[in-house]
Order: sequence, then structure tokens, then C-alpha cells
Amino acid sequence: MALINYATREVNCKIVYYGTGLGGKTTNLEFIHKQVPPHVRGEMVNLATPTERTLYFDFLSLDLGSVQGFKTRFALYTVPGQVEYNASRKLILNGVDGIVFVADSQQSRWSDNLASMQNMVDNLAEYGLNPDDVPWVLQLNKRDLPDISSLDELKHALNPKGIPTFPAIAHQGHGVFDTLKAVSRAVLARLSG
Amino acid sequence: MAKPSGNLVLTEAGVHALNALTGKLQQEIQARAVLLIEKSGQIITAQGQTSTLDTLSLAALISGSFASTKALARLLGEKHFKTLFQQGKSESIFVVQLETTDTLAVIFGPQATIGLVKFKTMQALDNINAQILALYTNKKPTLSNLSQSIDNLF
Repeated sequence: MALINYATREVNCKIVYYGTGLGGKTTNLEFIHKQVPPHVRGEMVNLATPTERTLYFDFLSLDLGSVQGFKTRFALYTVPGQVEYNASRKLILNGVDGIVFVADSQQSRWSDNLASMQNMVDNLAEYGLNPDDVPWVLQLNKRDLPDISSLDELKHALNPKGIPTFPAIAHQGHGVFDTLKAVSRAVLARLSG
Repeated sequence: MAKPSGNLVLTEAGVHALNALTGKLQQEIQARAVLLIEKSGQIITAQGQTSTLDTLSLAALISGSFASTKALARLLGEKHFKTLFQQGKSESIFVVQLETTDTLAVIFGPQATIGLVKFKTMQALDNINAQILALYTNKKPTLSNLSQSIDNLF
């Protein structure tokens, strides 16, 4: 649940980038970190293995400006995508306000995407939540690679309810900010009375 | 003390009261900083030399570190580890879980001993627990007309 501080007039929201290993979650955060001016973001924190795979989480804070006199601050987290790190993924979902599910469009990762989506549903259930309770958006990443599934196929499999979906090439920045804007809007809209 | 239900809503009076309690603790042990961290890893209040610290990253890391400790306890068959102590040469961190499962972190240097930090922190804990518990409400916090202004952010 977003933390509203009436004393400092701040709204703090937690957004988690979820998805299969090597799908591009960290790349999304790295691109955001590179693009936004230093005065609106903090330093990026990476807890990675020696081979630069996310071990626990990546973290980046962003100040997106003011709405209704409240400063909006977003804490962006990634989860480790590798199957064996489920305990960490579960912990990071604690208090989540919005989710970006980053799918890997390659045909070879089809079943990994489905497994990761199911894992997200299972882990949200541990906090008494289901995906309808949490604003989330879908990013279909790696659209520049050969042998990718079509957008329609991926949407059909991962997004039967028609949530906002964004094709992306995260390492080039395509779709990264569209995705971030959509999830931020959805989180703030949830707070709006 | 009962577990809290509902959402944490930081009212002006509530934040002032928490600032007073954590500020007193920080003064008593001459801590570098005292951070009150919500369970999702967000800062509730920060007292001390906060301008020289990246408090947002610290809060996320302390919260993550403490969450791992709790998961570790469960794996070992412990109900929970209520405290965590990380000792460095010039900076150390003592973290304790509140009744609300939020955390209180004290960052301190060599001028304070861990014994003093533990004693004073535990002494302050009851009042901090009571104060923060009172800020939990079943009412969903909302900001009116927010959606009209959201587009201005981008």
C-alpha cells in the first residue's frame, strides 16, 4: 500500500519489475537511471552475482514531481528472475503498489514466461493478493531479436484480461518509459478518491 | 500488543510524535541516524545526519536485509529473529522489528557501545510501537482528484 505522508506531503509508491531470468528487468532500470537527470533519481543499487545476474534485487528511487501538492516518489525494484531465488522474489513483493511484468519475447522462453507469471500469482497470494488487486502492466521485451513470438500470441497467453501492454527493446530504451508511465499512472489512479 | 490491521497513514501529528521519539533516541546515543522503515522498504521518518546519507537506498537495503533474516529464522524453525546487528569498523547498524513488522534501524559510530544502543533502543521501543500502531487505520488513504494531475508528471 502506498505510503502517504501528510507531514512531509509525500506519496511513496513501490513498483516491482517481475519476470523470467534474463528477461530485461535490470536493463529497464539501468536505462531509466541513465536517462533521467540526477536530481530526480537516487543512485542505482545492484545486488548481483559475480556474473551480474540479480541475486536479491536492484533498487532505484525516482521523484516524479508533484500532484495535488504531494511530491510523488517511486521506489523501483527488480526481482531475481532465476527459478531458485523464489524466496527473494516473495520478500520483494511485500508492500508492492504496482507491477511491471517483463516477458521475454523469444519463442525459446515461452514456457519460462508462463511459469514466471504463475509464480507471480502464487507469490502475490502469499500476501493475500491476486493480480486484480494490484495495478500491473505487461512489457513484451526483446522485440529486436529473431525467432520471437508475435505480440498477439504473447498477449493471448500472458494477458487475457487486456491490461496495458508495451512492446519493448529495453537495451535501446524502446518502450521503457511508456511502461513506467503506464504503471505509475495506474498506481496513482488507484490512490485517487 | 495486537497486530495492526489496515494501512499506515502518516498524519502530521503522528509524524511529529514519531520524530520526537526517534529524535530523542538519536540524541541519547549520539547515533549517526535513526530510521523508521515501513515493511515495504520506504522511509517513515529519519533523524540525525540524514543529509549525508542516502536514506532511501539504506531503507530499501536494511528492509531487504531484515526480511532475509526473518525468512532465515523460519528455515531454522525459529518464529523470528527480532533484531539484527551489523558491526563495522567505524559504522554499525542495529535493527529491531516493531510490533507492526515495520523496522527501526539505528546507525551509530564507535562513540556508542552496542550494549548502550540495544538498551536505549529497547527502552524506546514501547512508545514507538504504541505511536506507530495508532497510525494504522482501516480507512484506505486517498488523495482526491489525483488522476487529473497525473499526466502532468510526464
